[in-house]
Amino acid sequence: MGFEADMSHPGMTLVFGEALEVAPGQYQGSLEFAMAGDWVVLIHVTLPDGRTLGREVSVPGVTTN
Amino acid sequence: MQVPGLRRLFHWRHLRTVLQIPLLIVSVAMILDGLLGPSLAPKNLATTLSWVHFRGALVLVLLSAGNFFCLACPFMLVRNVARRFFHPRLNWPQKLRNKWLSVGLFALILFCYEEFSLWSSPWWTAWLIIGYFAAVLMVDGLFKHASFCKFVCPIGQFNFVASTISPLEVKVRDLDVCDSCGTKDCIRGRRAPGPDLVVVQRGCELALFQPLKVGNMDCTFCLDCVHACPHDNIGILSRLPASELMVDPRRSGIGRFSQRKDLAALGIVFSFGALLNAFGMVSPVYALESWLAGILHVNSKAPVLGVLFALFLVVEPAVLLGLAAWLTQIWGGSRRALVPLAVRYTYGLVPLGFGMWLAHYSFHFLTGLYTVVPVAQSAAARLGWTVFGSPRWTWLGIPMRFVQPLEIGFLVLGLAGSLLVIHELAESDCAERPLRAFTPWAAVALVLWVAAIWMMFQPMDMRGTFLAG
Repeated sequence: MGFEADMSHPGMTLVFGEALEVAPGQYQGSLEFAMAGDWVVLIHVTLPDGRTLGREVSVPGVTTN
Repeated sequence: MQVPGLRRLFHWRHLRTVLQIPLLIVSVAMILDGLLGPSLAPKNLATTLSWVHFRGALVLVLLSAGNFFCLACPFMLVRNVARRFFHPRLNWPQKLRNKWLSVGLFALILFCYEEFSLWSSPWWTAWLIIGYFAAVLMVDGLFKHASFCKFVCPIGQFNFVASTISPLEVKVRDLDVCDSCGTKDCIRGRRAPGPDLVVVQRGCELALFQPLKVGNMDCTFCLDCVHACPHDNIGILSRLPASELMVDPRRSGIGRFSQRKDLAALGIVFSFGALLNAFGMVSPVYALESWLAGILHVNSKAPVLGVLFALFLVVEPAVLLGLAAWLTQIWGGSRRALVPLAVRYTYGLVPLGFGMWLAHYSFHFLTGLYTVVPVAQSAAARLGWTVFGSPRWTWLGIPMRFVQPLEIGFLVLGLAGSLLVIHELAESDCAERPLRAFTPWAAVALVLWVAAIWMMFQPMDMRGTFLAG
């Protein structure tokens, strides 16, 4: 299971991450957003039978610390 | 400057079409991907090519050469094909024979870019391209000559103003040859011999008579005049960049810059809009927008943007240029009235404005240079073309640490160009006290430059949702 975070503006930096299984059916991973703005996290899942599925999660208004 | 082979290339009748066809194919691909492809902007051809590659390549070509993007304009290819079937009969209305409409459209596009977060929407971007094709066909389907290019096209106006800084210009090689020319084909078009006088090669559709043409304003580099001239006396020649801003002769098809309030307004939207457009992508803009929304008691973006645009494109230029014009009057001793003074010196800010566009657009272009590869691979894969391999999403572009010095260099170059133009204008206005006319306008340029440098060092923040964020 992998993560990818894209900015809403094309051509900007991308961030990748991997998720590890911490409990049966439960995965955990972390991503560090490289800059402020609207982000979209894409979750890429490969099932045991080889099929793939993806999900998009919007993370708007990320601000800097 | 003579480059071997180029003269023959520019004289080739099919050069324009050969350049337009690939861009038309790319435009169609962008429209299809924008409407039918992924909704995520960084994965879509429409948004990636429009907002990263097209804009960046455009400003870099304008800086290093000239208005070659108008030469290769795909909209004109479609329009030329359509004109084989529909012949426009109307003349563009006299009252609209100026830049006011296109100034409004230019500002409107900048507004829509922020209001609809166009950079993040492949769908809206595709419709913008479709709308452009429709507008070209409608305007040039009804009105004769290149009405769309000269009086409507906002991208064209951007190119016209920016190309005043370009090192190349379409111009006459030897004016003596023009003096002895009896046909003036460069403006009238070349006609076939015979009683019908059928035009076999059109002349300039933008009403620029070559012997009296000065600079690149309103020139689309279409090369019609080059092909029409029976004496091979017109070419793409080198010149001192921005030199056309330092003089004020009567220009064919334009008149004097100093008497064109509409052109000065275009220069204002170009120069101040450059800062506003860049301001839209740094963090402080969201704090300002939230603060304005609180004062206005509104929850939507449009009224806040409306106030911001009014402040940056109307109030700020009015205050800065008005103050500088007033100081030039009382301190420099200029006899011109306030508005003519402001009009005249507004053109001096164009190099700085172009420096800001360059810094902004080349940033996106260079830092996202390679992103077109995975996006194109992905689009091809969706069509079942796997020969290009799986998308290499890790391909981005040149690291920011290398690009940022370049951005600052563009801004320094822009400031230097502005100061040079302002100095030349001041010298010709007040020969005995040029420094007094120069100083107020140089101060305006410096204020804008400091603002631009400040923006460059702000943290980037690409948001379409400032009120929620």
